[in-house]
Amino acid sequence: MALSQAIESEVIAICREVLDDPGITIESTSATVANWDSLGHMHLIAALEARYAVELDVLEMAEVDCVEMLIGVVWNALQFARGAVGGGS
Amino acid sequence: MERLGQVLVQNACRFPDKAAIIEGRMELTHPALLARVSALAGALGDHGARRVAVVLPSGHDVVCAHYATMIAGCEAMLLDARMPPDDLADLLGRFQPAVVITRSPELQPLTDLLGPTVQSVFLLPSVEDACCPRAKSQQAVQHVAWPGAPVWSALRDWGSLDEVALVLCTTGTTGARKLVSLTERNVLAAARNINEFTRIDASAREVTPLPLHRSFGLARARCLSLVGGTLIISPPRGDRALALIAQHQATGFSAVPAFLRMLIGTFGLRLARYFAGLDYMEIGSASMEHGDKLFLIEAAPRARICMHYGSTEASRSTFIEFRSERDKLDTIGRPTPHVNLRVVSEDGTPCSNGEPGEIVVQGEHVCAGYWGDDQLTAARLRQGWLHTSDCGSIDADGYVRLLGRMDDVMNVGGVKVSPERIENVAKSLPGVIDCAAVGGRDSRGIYGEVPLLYVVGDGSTSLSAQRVKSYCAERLLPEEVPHEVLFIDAIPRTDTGKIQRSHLRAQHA
Repeated sequence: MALSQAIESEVIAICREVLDDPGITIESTSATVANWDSLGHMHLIAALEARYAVELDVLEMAEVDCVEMLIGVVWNALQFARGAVGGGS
Repeated sequence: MERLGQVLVQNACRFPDKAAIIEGRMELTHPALLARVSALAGALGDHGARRVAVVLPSGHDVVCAHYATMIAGCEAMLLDARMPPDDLADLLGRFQPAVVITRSPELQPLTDLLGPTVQSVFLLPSVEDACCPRAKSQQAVQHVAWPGAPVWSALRDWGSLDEVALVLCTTGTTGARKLVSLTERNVLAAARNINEFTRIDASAREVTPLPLHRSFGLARARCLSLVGGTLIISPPRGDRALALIAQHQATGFSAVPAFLRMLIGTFGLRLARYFAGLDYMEIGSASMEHGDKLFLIEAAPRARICMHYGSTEASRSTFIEFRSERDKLDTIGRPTPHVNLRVVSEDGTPCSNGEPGEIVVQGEHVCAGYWGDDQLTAARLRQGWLHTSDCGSIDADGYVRLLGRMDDVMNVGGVKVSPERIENVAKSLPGVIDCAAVGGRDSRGIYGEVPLLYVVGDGSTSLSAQRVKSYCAERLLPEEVPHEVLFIDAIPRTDTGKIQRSHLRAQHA
């Protein structure tokens, strides 16, 4: 499985667990997931940062209102971390 | 005292290009705010209704409607359109408004709740209008259009400063919601007092995620209007609030402790990047963990961090500034400028230093009474003093210590026991995530009442009821040590973070 696909699946799994909704898919949005409120969103940030040992960009996260965007922010953070640590290769 | 209408006119003249309110992509300049307020005030004046319900989601429209109803001399109840329908129906039924101000998206679910007293519905423009089905209502529907310039005629016939202008529902920790009647004098005096303490001026650009139907959020809007500043409305989401602080180079931030806890818990020291430029913060509506207070002192190094104690009935009766009054962080500070505060015993005589009693408050900010409840008004407003039902004491330096609600303070064999003291100790025990103390009947019949402690643990096996009791016994008076420790999943709290002790008492009964 490609890295991006693995991350996508894992982020969806984290969303399902944190927001307590097994029906979450990549198309899910904060409007369609009952527990994706302000507190749920903060829990998501904390869970994703702990899992990937990265800091998600707060300004990027502020724009997030769907799982697909969330995956993008996690991907960016991982790329940034790899660049910072490994010289961007 | 300068009237609200005068303030808005002056702001429009002094700051013609400056934003008064920013929400999302919408920037409302001071003249544009005045134009909207005067248009709505004019429409209300033409209608002639006195009693008006404002049913809107939190946002800039609430501020416009609040200002307009006040200038038009109305008595307005502000309601959150997202309240449960039963609550909305109950409050509208009690208030019996002649006019309801709302928007198209909110009208359809609302229309079945409107009683026979409602003559007209004023619909404010909304971005959803184009895609919203034409709202149907049994009442006459009047579409309000926002003009490009103020309707000056609407800004001449102001109501009296001392007539009831605003009715707010208390969130309350017990029983039915109380309706608090406030005059224009009350709310403007409160804003003046707050500004005097927080020291804001026209350069203030404040981000707030607070709901604008409630006392705290609404007062922030008025405080900024009073100085000609800018209110930046944030959704109640931590990352969005931080993004707005960065985007607008905000100088101020206001939030409840629960929101700040969420920010601190999620972002930790990263908050310093966003708080570094703040000149001030206002915090209030519930108690705050000592550690969070210390964190903010470090994270917002140049800000005056002002935390208030108050209620809808008496907005901001004391203030403490964390940095300059660091050695008094266990108190709620000293009385706000222009506010008289005392602690009195049951017979009404002032208590001596350190002696617990009821906190009573006097000042222009104190409400006119409880809407439609003369009995409660007479019970709580006596000889010009508001009896808060909060238990406290005043130390030799004039700092007030909050000990809990009068009803919550336990009488353990004649010794007054504050639930907060027990909670503060128990929370310092590793493994205790949250807790709440309440009084329960002493089944042995010795003390009459004994403390019970409800604990939310972190799941660690070392945290037992006996461990909690022993820990408290080492740090508290014998009467304060929990008689029983009960583990539960969550402490019931209001959405502002206040413990709902009545729920716990009912659970134990």
